[in-house]
Amino acid sequence: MRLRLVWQSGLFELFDSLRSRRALVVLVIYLAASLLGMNGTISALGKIESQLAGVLAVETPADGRSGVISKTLWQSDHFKRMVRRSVGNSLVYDDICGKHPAELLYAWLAFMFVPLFTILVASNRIADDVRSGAVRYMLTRITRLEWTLGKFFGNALLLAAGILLGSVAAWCVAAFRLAGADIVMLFPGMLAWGLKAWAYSLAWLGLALGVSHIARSGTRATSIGVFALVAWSAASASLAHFGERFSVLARLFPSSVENMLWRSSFAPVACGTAWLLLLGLLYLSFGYSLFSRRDVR
Amino acid sequence: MNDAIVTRSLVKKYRGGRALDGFSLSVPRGATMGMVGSNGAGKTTWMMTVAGFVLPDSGEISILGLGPFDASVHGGRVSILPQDSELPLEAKPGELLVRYGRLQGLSPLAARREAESLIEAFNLTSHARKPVRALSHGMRKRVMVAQAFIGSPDVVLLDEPLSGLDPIEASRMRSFVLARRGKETIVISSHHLDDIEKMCTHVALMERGRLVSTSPLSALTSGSGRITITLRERPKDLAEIDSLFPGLRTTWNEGTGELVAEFPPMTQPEHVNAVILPALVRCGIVSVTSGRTLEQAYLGR
Repeated sequence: MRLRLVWQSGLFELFDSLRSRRALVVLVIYLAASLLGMNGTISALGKIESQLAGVLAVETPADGRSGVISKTLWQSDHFKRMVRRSVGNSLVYDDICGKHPAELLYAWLAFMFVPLFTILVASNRIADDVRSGAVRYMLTRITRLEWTLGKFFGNALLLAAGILLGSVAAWCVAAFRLAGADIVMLFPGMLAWGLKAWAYSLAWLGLALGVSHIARSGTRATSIGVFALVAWSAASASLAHFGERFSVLARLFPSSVENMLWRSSFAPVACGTAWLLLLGLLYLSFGYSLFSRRDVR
Repeated sequence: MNDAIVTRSLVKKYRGGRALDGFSLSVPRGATMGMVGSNGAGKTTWMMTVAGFVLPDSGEISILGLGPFDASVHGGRVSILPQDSELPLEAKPGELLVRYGRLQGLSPLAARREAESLIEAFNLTSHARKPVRALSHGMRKRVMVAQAFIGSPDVVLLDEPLSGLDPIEASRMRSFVLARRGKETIVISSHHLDDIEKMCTHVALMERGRLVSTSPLSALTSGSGRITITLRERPKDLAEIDSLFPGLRTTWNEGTGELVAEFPPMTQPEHVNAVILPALVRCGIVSVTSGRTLEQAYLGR
């Protein structure tokens, strides 16, 4: 395998994706979702925290802006115990309990929307090229594997751009809507969550492109991709329900690694990222193994 | 090894039957070979198989003596103008050619220079910065052909390169291919036999997935024993003309206004001309062609 050609074909893929209206539309939708999601969640937070304030008997906000109570709540022992129970993982809880609520809101939104965003952006990329015949101009010059990895790499760059722009947009909303003086300090934190969301997207990217290898058209690939996303989420939730019995099988689904990305220390995040990349390449390799043996006509 | 492409006993089955049915063909290095055959004869399937897009069910392929197509071995040395294949619609012709040149192994500067030269050769200068989406069918076709020549590959496969081109651009394309003759091994598939005749040095005839014949073009068209005379009027008595030379047999084609004179192969055409042309002067001789056109050879095989 010639890495130079993978790199070049990845860059071509990035430029082509950026020029394709579909990718731009999806990117704009994702940005809008980040803005609206963040705004909506902050509004909901404001309402919830004013209700909780009464229940938990904590201070009321002086300026009426959202976030002040959340920070207060975060520091109350009663609330900490409640969150620890709902997170279900004390290590994750220890790492997130010091974070600003806005960061966590953004992280929650990003991890929720990134799989769908990834499937919508990438699942047609290979099927469309095969159907239109554009792939044939590439495959006398580079191998099918180099082309496939170029697609993976190019779309990973596109997703990185989209997700990081989304985190900037979410930070802007947070800066505007949230109370507190540490808004500037939120920026690196939200960018870090954006990077983690991107790492999370790698496994879904592998799934999207794996599906794209086997579908006969881009539209069909997108439909199969969305179906696979739902099936993966359902399977993963079912396996989690059964607990330790299927823990090995559960590792084959991206959501099983999500907890590692919620950690703050480098080692679990790096391990989680590596595992997600491996998962992505595994899904991709299933599609590729069919593609490598089929006629491109 | 003198053959750029060797294919032996290729079989490719589809649901509807066999696109290639034991097809064997060798293309000499430096030749410009025309592939001729009716629709469904297997020309496109053969090209796709040689380029590695279609995997044969059985048979042998060797390209440049290095085995069947493998982009890690042949990448940059074999290129193709595939049939019914769209270029990336949002890309611009100039940058597409640079892109493909880079993948062929050219440096950025060399790729840019070669792309500019091809853009000029194919009369695309004023369209080089427009997205492919905005180009007409003929313009896209020219970009598609141009990409097949960037990076000077050893083997170029062109599937219907002239279809959809206007007469001026078709002529420009023929001149371009003629100028490349001998530099690359070129295989052209076309239904336009006069184009094949103008551009190619060799011809392969195929039908129903099998090779019918392959030979240098001259062997097929300049075969002795035949003269075609275009006349303004039909000769009154063909039998009288036939009697002028031993073994001469003439036939009149009313549609084309051609008198085809066939005679024993060992006879010099000049001798026949010397005898029959004086007798045909009153019919108005427009042209005299020795041998056969490719179309005549193909239709009369």
